[in-house]
Amino acid sequence: MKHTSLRQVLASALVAGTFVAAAPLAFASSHREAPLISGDPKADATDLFAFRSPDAPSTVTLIADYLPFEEPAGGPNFYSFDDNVLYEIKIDNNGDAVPDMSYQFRFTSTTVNPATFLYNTGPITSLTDPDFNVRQSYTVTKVVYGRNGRVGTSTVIAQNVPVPPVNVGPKSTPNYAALQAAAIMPLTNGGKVFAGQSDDPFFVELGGLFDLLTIRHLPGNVGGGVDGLKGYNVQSIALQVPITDVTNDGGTPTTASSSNAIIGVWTTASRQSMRVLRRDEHGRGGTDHSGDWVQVSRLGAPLVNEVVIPIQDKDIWNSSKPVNDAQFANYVANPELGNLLHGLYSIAVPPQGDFGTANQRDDLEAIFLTGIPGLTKPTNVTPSEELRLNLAVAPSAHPNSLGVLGGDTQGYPNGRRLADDVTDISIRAVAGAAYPLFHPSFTPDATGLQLGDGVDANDAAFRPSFPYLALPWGGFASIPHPTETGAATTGTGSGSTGGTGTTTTGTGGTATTTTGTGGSTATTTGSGGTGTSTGSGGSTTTPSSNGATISPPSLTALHGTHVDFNGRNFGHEETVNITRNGVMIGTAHADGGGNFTTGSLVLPNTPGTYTYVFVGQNSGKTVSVVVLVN
Amino acid sequence: MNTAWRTTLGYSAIAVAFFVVSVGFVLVQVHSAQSAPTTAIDRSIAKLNDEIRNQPNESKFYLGLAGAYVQKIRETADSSYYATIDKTLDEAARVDPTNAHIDAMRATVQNGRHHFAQGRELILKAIQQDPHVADFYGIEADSEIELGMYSEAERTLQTMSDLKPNYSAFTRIAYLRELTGDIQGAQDALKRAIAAGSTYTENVAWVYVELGLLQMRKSLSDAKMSFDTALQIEPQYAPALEGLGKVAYAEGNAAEALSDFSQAFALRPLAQYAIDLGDVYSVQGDTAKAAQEYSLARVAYEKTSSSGVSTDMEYSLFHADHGDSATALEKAKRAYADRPSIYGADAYAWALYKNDRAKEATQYVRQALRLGQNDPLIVFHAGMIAQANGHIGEAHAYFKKAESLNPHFSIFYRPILAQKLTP
Repeated sequence: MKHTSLRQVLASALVAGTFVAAAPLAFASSHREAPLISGDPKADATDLFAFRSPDAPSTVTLIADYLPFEEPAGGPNFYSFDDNVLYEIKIDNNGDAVPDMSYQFRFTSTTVNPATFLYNTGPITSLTDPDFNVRQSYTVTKVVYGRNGRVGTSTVIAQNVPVPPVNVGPKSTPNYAALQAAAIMPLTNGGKVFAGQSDDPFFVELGGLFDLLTIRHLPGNVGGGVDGLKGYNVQSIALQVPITDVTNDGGTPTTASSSNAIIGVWTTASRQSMRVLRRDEHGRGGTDHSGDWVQVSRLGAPLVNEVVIPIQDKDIWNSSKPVNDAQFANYVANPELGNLLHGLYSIAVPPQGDFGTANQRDDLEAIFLTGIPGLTKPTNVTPSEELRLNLAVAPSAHPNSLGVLGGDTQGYPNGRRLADDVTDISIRAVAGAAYPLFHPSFTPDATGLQLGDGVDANDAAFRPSFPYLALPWGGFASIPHPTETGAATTGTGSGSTGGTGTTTTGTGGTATTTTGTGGSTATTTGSGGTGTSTGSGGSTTTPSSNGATISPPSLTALHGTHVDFNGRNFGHEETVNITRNGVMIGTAHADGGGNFTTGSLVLPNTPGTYTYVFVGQNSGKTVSVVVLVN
Repeated sequence: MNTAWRTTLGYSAIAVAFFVVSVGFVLVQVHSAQSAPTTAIDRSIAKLNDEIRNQPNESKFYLGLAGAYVQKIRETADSSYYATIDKTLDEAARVDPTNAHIDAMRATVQNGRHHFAQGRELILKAIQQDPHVADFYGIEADSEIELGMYSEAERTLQTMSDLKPNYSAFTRIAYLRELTGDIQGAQDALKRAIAAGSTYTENVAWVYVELGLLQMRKSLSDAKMSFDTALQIEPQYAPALEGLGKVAYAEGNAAEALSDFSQAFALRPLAQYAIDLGDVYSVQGDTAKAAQEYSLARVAYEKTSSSGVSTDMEYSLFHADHGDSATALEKAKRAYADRPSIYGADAYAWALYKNDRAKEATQYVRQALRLGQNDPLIVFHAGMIAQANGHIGEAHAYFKKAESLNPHFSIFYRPILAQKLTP
C-alpha cells in the first residue's frame, strides 16, 4: 500500500516521493510560478493484487491501481491514464529478483470532436457512442525476458482495447455496468483484460494509523475505524491469465513445493525523460527531445513505500529495481514502526537490529523480502521486495481476511486478495505475530496480536467475477466528499459578497422561475438591488406543488459570480442533488428542519439562460430556478 | 455587458476607497470568504493542524503544513501566508534540526519572496545532504533561471528530469525552452505536463493557461480553447480569466476584456490584473479610469512588498510606464543587482531609457537579448532604445520582430508599435 492517500488527504505532499514544497506564486509574469507538488497521481501505483481466481482456478488475476482519490463528482477530464506512461505488471518466476516477464500497457487518447473540450457531448450509451468525446484505448504487450535480462519475445496480446468512460452519472453514463462489461476484452493468450475506473478497493484508517499510529478504538480489532478511502475511485489495470502463462516452465504447479509454484509480482510506471533543450552535437538545432525511460513508481507488497521507506529515499525507492533491494534491507530488519508500536502502545515487540546483526527481524525479512519458508519462499531466492504468490494453493472456500495470520494460506502475504485486511496483518506482523515461526521461544504480545485500524472491509462489495472490483462511484448517485471547488458544498457558509468584487448585481432584467414536479410556471420580473449587493432579483416565493421552495426564486447575475440558494421544506434530513441544464453540479445537505444552503455556488462563465434544479434524494421534492447569467 | 460595466466601475471605486482606508481589505475579504474549509487545500491545512496538535514533535506535519500553505498562496495570491510558513518551519527545525526538507522549504519561500540568491544557497545545502530528491532540483532551477544562470538551470533540470520525469520537471523545462525561443518545444513540454497531471486541479489549469499564452503568439482560437479548458478544470481561475481578457482584447472586444480583467482582479487582487485594466482604459483615452486602476496596482504592489516579497523588478517596469521614472530607475538598479536575468537586465535598460539615458541602456538591453530575440516585450524595448540612440534601421528591425513574435504581446504598447511600423 504505497498509498498516495497520505499525501493527498493529510498533506498533499508530506510523505513519500512528493516533496513538500512548491515554487510559490509570484506577483508578476516574470517569475514563472510552476508548482512543485504534483504528486504525479497518474503514475502513482497505490495497490497491487495477485491471487488465483476463485471462479476460474486455472487462472491468476493481477490488478494494479493508479490515480487515487478520484472524487466521483470531480471533473471527468481529470481522471485518465497518462499516454506517456509505460504501465507494467512484472513477474519474477524463479526468485532471482530479475523480471522474467512483463505485461505492458500503453494508452492512447483520442478526442472525437476536437472543437470541444467536453468529456461527453450527450449521454454515452455504448463505447462507440460519438457522444463519448474524450476517450482512451490501449495495447497490451507480453514481454518475456531471456536469461540475460534482455527482451526475448515481445507479443501484442490485445490492441485498441477501449477504456470505459468514468462514471459521470446517470445522465451522462446511464447503465454504467453495461459500459464496463463491454470493456472487458479477451487476450490472445486465453486471458481477459480490463482497464478503467473502479471503486478504490483498499480500505484503511488513513486519518490516524500511518502517520500518527493512532488507533481509534484500541487495540484495533473491534471495528470503529474510519475508512479514509470510502467513496473514492481509482484507475485499475486488471488481467486474468492462465497460470501456465506466468510459470517458469509453462506448466501448472502440482504442489506448493513445486519448483514452478512461486511467482513474485510488482507493478511499475515509467516515463521518458526529456532533453531540456534541443541540441545536436554542435550545441544547437537538434530535433530530438526524447530521453531515456525512467521508472517513476514501483509497488509490490502493500505498506512498504509508506511505512518502511523513509522520506529521503522515496525517489530512489520508486526508481529502484528489486535486484538492488539490499540497500533497503535495514528498513525491514530494523523497522521504525516497531519502535513506534513500542513507544506509543508499550507493545512488547521482538528485539530488532540492523540487517546482518543478531537482532535483525528475520520474520519481516521473510514477509517483505524473501518469502515465507514452505509457502512463498523460492529456492535460492535473492532478497527483494515483491508480492510473492504460491500458485499451487487453491482458492479458499472460506477466505479469511487476515490471510495467513488467520489460518488462510491463500491470503496475504501469499499474494494479496481484494478483501485481505493488509493493514491489520502488517501491523500485527510488525508487532511480532509471525516471529515465533523463526524464534519458537518468543511469545507475541497479546495486545500486539489484536492491533488494527478498525476498518475491516471495503466500502463497496467486491463482485464474484473478473475484474472483481466494485463499480466506480458515480458523480450523481453518491458524492461522499465535499466537492473540490465551484460546485455546491454541504452546509458551508455563504459565498463572498462585497469588497472582493465577486458580487452579483441584480439590475433589472427578467427572471423566470419555474417549479419542478408541479409543473406550474411563474414568471417574475427581477427588480433587485443595484450596486454591489448580493444579487437576488425578484422577491416572490416560488409556488410549488409539493411545498419545497428556494430563495432567491429568480436571479439575474454576472457570470462567474458566487450565489447561495437557500432551500426550504425538503425532507427532514437528506441530500439534495443540484443540476444545471440537466448536468449534475453538486449537492446540498438539508438539515433536520428540511432547510439547506448551497454555499458558494458559482455561476457559469458564459452568459446565457440556465435552469437549476434542486431534487431531494429521499423526499423527491423538486424546485427549479431559471437564472439569467450576463 | 451593461451589468458587467457597472460592476467593474462600482467595484473599482469601492475598492479604491477601501484600500485607502485600510490597505489589505480586499485580501481580508478573500480570507473570510474562504474561511470554511471547502477546497482541497483548506481541508489539508485543517487536517495537518489537527495532526500537529496530536503529535507536535513530528516534523513531517510541519513540513506538510508549510507545503500546503505554499499551495494556498498559489490559489489565493496572498503572500501574507509566508509569515505563517516561516513560523511553521521554525517549529519543524525545532523538532528535527537536520532535515534537509526544511532547508528546501526555506529555499522555496526565499524564491517566493524573490530572494533567489538566498534561495539557491539554501537549496544547494539541502541537495548536498539529500542528493536524490528530484524536486530539490526544481527549486534550484527556479533560482537559477531568475538569477540568469541559464546553462546551470539547463543542467539542473536535466538532472531533475532524469531522476523523475513528471509534471514538475516538464513545466520548468517548458519555461527554459520558451526563454530560449523554442516555442514549439515549450508547448510540447506543457502538453506532457498536462498528460502527466497533478494532485491539484489548479496545477493543471495553470499549465493550460501557460499553453494558451504561448498559443496566443500564433492562434487566438487555440489560446481561447486552452483558457476555456483551464476554467472548466478550475472555475473562477483568475489567470485563465486574464487570458480570456487578452484574447477578447486582441479580437477587438475591449468591453469583454475589461469584464474578464475585473473578474480576475476581484478573485485575486494582483497588480498585473489592475494594470491590464488600466492599460485598456489608457489606450481608450480614459486617463481618469486608467489612473484609478494604476493606483490599485500601486496598492497591490505595496501590499505584496509589505509581506516581504521583493517587487523591485515588476514595480520598476510599472513605474517606468505609469509612474515616476526616478523611482523606476532606483528599483531597477536593485532588481538588476538581485536578479541579473534577462528580465532584470530589461527592467534596468528600460528604466535608463525612461530617464533619458538611452546610450547606457544599450548594454543592458543587449544582455536582455542574450538568449535571442524571443520575448516580444524585450525586443520592443530594444527597438525603442535603438531609436532613441538614432539607430533607425535597427529599431525598425526590432519593431518588426516584436510584431512577428506576438502581435498581441502588450495592450499598452500595441498602438505605439503600430505607429512605429506605419511607414
